[in-house]
Amino acid sequence: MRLNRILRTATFRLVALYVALFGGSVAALGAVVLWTTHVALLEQLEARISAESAALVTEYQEGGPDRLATAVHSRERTHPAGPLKYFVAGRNGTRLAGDLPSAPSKDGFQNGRYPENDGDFGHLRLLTTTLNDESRLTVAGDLEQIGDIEAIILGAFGSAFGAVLALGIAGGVALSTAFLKRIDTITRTAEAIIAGDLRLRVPLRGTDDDLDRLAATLNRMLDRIGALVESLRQVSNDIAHDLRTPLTRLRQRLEDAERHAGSVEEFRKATEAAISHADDLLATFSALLRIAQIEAGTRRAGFRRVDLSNLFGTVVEAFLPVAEDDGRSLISRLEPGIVVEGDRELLTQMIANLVENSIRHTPKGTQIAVNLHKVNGRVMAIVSDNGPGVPCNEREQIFKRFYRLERSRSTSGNGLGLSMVAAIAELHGIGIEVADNHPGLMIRLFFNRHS
Amino acid sequence: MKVLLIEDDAETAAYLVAALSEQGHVIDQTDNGRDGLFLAAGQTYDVLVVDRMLPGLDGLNLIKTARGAGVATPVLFLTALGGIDDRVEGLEAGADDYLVKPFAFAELNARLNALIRRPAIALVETSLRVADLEIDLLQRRATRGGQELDLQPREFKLLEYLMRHAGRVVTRTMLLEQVWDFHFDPKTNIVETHISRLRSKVDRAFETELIHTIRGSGYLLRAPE
Repeated sequence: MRLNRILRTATFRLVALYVALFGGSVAALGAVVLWTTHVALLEQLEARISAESAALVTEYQEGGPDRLATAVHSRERTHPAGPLKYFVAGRNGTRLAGDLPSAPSKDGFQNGRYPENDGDFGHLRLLTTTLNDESRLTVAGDLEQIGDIEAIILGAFGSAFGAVLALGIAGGVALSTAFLKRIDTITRTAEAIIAGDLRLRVPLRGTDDDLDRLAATLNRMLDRIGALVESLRQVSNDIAHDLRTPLTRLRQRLEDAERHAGSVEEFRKATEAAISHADDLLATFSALLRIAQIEAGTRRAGFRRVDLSNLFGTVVEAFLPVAEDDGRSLISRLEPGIVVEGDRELLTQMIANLVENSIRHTPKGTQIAVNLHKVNGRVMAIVSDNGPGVPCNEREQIFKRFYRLERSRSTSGNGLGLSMVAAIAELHGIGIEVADNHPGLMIRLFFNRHS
Repeated sequence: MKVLLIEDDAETAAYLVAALSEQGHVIDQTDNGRDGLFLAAGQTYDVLVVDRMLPGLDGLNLIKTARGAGVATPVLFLTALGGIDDRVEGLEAGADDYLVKPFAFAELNARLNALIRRPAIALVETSLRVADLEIDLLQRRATRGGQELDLQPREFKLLEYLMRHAGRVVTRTMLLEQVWDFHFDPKTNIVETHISRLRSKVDRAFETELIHTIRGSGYLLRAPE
């Protein structure tokens, strides 16, 4: 199993490839050396045979067959185990001199095999020359010497090849094991995280190599996932908490009606109240889903040119009587003809939520102002009031889901209005700034040049 | 009125069939898109109520296919909570109106009535009249008993919508969508406030009230009996 894993690692495969390449090179080199040596040695042997043969032919020409036989005898006597062997055959093929058991009948170089004293066969290179009186001189050189040298060369290259193979395989196993060990660390960490421990991270070696960088990237990814999970957990908690209370109240009311309502009219009232509670809950759900969808950002595909001045005008006009009836004033200064790219429906809701927020969370007599103008070509909208404002340390919090200021807890509402504003602004690339209006709250919207 | 309800949730369908029957409508109901399309194309209905999520053929494709096949019956499209793109998709597919689930029955009923009584050919009207109240659509002027009413442009639009639907209940949401183009639920009483202002101009100085509040449903403009 473990061996199987090593065999399948990329490192091992790479090492195997290198071993094959080096082994192949060594083998090829060996073959070339062997062949070249063989050719060179053979040429050398043939040159020597030719020289000897020429010398003996000279002896023959100078002194006839007898002198040739004497010369051969004397050479064989001087070097009994010498590299060269001889055969001199008479006209009828009878041996006149020489140790060779027989001689070829054709002239020129050829190979021959002759039994040796130890029962083996010796390989010889033979040169036969026909002399004037049709007697024949054969000079032979032992090919065994060449074979011996070739065997040494072959042995040397064989050892080198074996060494390359052994080193390669050992190196491959070692490298793979080291690599696998680090991969295993990553795998083990990932598995522990899958098992539930999200805080675990892959240990780094500080070498800044490929694997270290991979581990660092994985760790960063885990950090991001961790942050997302945390924010999701936060939202789920918020939802659970903020829906539990109204659900509990709804249940209590229904139970109370079941136990105490005495007349159809009382039942009707209880049911009406229950429906109204259920509607509030549905509105909260709807707002949460809407915010989630806006945050997903798919809506950007539907952006069109929107006359913002016109849109602000409609919203202000819609809320003006509401504000007046609630004892607040609503004034607006809207520069005409301001056009942006965006989603009409969502931009309407954004500005409506801001105006409503000011109407609902300020005391009677508050002045609310809506401004829209261009500053240096950049569209800016301001919704401000001279109400109690928002404490400095809570200004960033008001855009969080379900966040409500302490004094607003008694007013109805789901604490999602400004979260919706933030989500819509984010979608449109609108910057939001919460400031002190001295007194009161001022929310500034900076439209992106491209939006 | 003959209504075809294409809704796959058995409980919702049973509730709607019962409630619509009580209103005097004749209901055919099917729980899948294929049968729905077959019925819509084969028979004459006054209105179709189509759920978005349907087995077989989904609501959007059903409407597209029906419209492509020349079915001109008004369609009310039902979409799921929070689907902010569903409305546009539904209207683009050929639906005449949409409603987000879950909804109050009164809302569905009011919208169905508004669809059913829509004239087959949009007549180019230049004036509308209910009892002694008359509006001139070209000059954007309103009079009651010959007396000119001083209306803001939005109040005129609100009154025009009520008069076009005279004798039928219009809901708060319908008014928000049609008069202000607001497709969200404001937390303040925009509609109530504007109706109240309109009433003070249209009804206060006169003997008979024309604009009525229908508890739990919406508003109704109608001539006295």
